[in-house]
Amino acid sequence: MVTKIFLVVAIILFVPLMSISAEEPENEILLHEPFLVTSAGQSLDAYLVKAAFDKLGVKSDLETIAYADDLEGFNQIIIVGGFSHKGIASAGLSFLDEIERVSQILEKAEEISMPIIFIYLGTFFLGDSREVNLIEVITPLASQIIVYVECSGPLSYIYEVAEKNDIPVSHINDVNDLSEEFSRIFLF
Amino acid sequence: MVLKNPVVSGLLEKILISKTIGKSAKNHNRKILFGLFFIGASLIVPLAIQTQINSLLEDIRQSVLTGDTGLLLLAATKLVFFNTIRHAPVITGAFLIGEGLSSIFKYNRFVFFLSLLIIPFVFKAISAIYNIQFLFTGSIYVTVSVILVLFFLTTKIPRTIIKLFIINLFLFGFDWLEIVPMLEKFGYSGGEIAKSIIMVSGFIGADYILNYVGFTISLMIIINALILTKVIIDHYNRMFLIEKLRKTEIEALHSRYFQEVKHLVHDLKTPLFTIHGLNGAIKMMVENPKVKTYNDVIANSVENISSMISEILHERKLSVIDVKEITDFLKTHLSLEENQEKVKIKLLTEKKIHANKYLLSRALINIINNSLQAIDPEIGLVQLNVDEENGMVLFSVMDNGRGISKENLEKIWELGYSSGKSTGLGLNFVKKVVNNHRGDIEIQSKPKQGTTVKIYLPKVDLNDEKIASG
Repeated sequence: MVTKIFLVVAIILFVPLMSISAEEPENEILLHEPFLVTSAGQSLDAYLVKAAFDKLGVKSDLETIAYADDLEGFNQIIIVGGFSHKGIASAGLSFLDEIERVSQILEKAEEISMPIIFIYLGTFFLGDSREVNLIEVITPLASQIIVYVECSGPLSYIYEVAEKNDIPVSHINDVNDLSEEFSRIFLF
Repeated sequence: MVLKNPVVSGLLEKILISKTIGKSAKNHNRKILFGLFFIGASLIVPLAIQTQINSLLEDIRQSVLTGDTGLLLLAATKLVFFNTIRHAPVITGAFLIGEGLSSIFKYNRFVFFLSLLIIPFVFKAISAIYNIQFLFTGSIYVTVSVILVLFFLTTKIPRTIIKLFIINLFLFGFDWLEIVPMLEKFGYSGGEIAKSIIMVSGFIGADYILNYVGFTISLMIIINALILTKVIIDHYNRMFLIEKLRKTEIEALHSRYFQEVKHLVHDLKTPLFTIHGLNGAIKMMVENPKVKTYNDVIANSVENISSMISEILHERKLSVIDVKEITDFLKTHLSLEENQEKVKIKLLTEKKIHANKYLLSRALINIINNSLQAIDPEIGLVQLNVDEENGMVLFSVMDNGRGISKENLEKIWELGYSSGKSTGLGLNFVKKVVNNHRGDIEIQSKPKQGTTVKIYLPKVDLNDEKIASG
């Protein structure tokens, strides 16, 4: 009898704990090569993503300033968000040019039903409203979202929009080991 | 040329130091102008290095794609270099303006501190002009703190260029810490590129190298800056100590010289006594009235010399004398001086004063001689007025000479201070004499307009006179 009571108590106590500690299963994203990697905001993050794919031996095309027409011939597009003053300036663009370019890409991708994977690492977020503007443009139209959990960017907004639009969100825990994280998130 | 005389070489060194210090004080306007120039330059620098910054970004991108640690290190080095180029004119300009303004206003430390507030404004202006985030990062906070400490430690050091060199050396050292990944979590590195470099270093596994290189180079530069600061402060402290020692030396020599003069004057008493005695004996022995008259003249002169000797030997001994006696004595002595026709004496009172006639006259001659040196030989004029003011007897010596600057006015009473033509003992002696007479001395001067020296001495009232005569 005592053993039975003990078992019941143990089950009552451990089941919730087990559910807390268990990690949520990650969304696995299937990559269809060839795919295009582009930047939204010209931060360095797009290069980090490209380098991570290279490390995994996955062929990706990086066009930081890609236009709508450049989508032709690709099966998927990965947009890496992150605003950089220096990046925009060195590319010879204005912020309005950049937001216009990104909007056109999104519009075209929707038109041809191309899946949009939005990666937001937010490693250089310095509270600039222009980065938030870019996120607001991309997030609702993304097919998949991948975010860096420790970034200082507006994650709550991303989660909110993702939930509202039923967009799956995957997480990156260690930005320094991006290739390892990608191997967990993507199916090649 | 080697100067063997320690007094002369000491005085020359003193003059050189005084000139260096005076020169620095005069330069505050120039400092402010240079400061504004540097602030102006700081607004242009970001534009001038835009291309280099773009190439630096490209280096970082390539280092991400290739995983090249060397390329990232090169980018980090370039960033530190460009950061210092961007920060240095702001820091230099603010420091110069601060130093310039602090020499004009009374609360110099507070004014200097306020002047450093220019720095955040310039950063904001640069951000607004170029639509970038020119951030007030860790290196700027630390450099500004160092500037404040240096300002307090080096107040007496006149060489601004040395201070600027030290400050910029510190800045360069602190800028190196901006690329140290270990310090990023403390918010030291605020700039976008610095953050990118640190981020990439973690990504390609170069954070250890960046920590090591950043810390080592920064430490080397900061240690050098600290050593330089210590050497410079010690050097100037030694110079000030030498100056102080020279002053003491001059004072000692001055005192020794007067002691010797006193001994000499004292020794004159014996032959004078002999002259006086023998003159009396001759007077008794001869019947010739002419010779007797000569005897009286000799006796009178011996009396005068004797009283003069007494006044020299007993400098604190004051007697009640008519101010006319002083002006008469001055007229007699000035007649022997060069340019004496330039000196006009006006006696506007007949009052009596307690004075050591010989020393007071010497003091006034000293002032008049200074004025004669300061005036133009063609149109110059020196006027001595003896009058009454506020119940005191006033001796005022006015000239229309080159005047004395505000900075030098504060130093003229110092022993050894000289405009370069005299020993620097004169006005110090004058002040001592006036103090012994329980009087006051003041000096007013405007460069290129002239100088007025006023000596106020208490006049003798009737009661004093009775006591003195009684």
